[in-house]
Amino acid sequence: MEEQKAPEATYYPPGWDNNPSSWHQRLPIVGLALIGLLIASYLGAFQLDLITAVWEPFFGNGTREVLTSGVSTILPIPDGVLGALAYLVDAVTGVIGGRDRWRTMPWIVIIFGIAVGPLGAVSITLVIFQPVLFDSWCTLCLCSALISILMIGPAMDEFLASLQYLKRVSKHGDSVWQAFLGQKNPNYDHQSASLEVN
Amino acid sequence: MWAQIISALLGLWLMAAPDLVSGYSQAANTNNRIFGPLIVAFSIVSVWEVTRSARFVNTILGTWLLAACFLLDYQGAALVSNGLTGLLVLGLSFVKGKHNPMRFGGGWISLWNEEKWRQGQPHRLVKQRPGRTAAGDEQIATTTD
Repeated sequence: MEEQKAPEATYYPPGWDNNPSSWHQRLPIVGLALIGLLIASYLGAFQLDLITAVWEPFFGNGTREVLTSGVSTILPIPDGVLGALAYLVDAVTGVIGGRDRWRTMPWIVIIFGIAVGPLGAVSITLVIFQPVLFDSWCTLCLCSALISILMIGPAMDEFLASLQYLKRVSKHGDSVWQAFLGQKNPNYDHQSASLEVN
Repeated sequence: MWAQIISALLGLWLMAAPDLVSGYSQAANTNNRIFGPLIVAFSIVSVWEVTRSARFVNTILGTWLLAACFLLDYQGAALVSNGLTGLLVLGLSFVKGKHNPMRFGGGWISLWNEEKWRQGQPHRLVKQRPGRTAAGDEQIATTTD
């Protein structure tokens, strides 16, 4: 296909000097999500009593106390399992779509951006709960929280590119809904340049 | 970028300090354990150029740390630690570093500000890359500048 021969620059959003949907930018986020998935699955397995011991190098009984606390079991499924599900959504929505998905699949980019945000917010809330409510820390929980925060920045540039694209669609009087769903995604690059100048 | 990384480390210090330094009351301890993680989080998010503006949350958090020196019971070393950390976090939140929204089509503000939107449009970029749009090239060449 000629698509594979096209230089990366043809996938840049208008007015950008980089492509936020390039694999170069997306794969590290997917990698982080997969590490997060592993950690959260391990913690979730302990909470579901699938494994009886849990690794904790620094804080003695900390991980056990945090993972068996009232907060972690406030929902029908343990928070570790929920975290694993969230990382899975991040990894899947991070990997779907091609190098120009900011334009061709805004819906998946926006789900991806929305999935990354709350995961980070919940992680930080849980980090605050550890010492404040239970007076203990959990090493792997802290690692998981760090990963979820690291993912936010790099995910947001693609999110911005998709929102700018939808605004461009709207300015051209085309259907934002169809563009959002990836049904009709015109490439306005050269047109908008001349439109703006006129 | 460096300012935000240092700021994240300061947040980490806030989390650890009650175990390493004396002079924390219960309230001061809790305050550290709430605001430490928040400062770490917003600092890390603002390391990336596209989300650099998250540093302004640290402006608020740093100001609160300074206010907490007077409002909560910090003593001796804890008071010094908290005051200095607050001052540094506040100061670092004003360090913009390398941040050019024009790398991102005008940035977030272009979504609602028409002036920024226009500035973010790729007049020059398109001209520098002819051949990508066979039909549009001629038109652009005559209308830009």
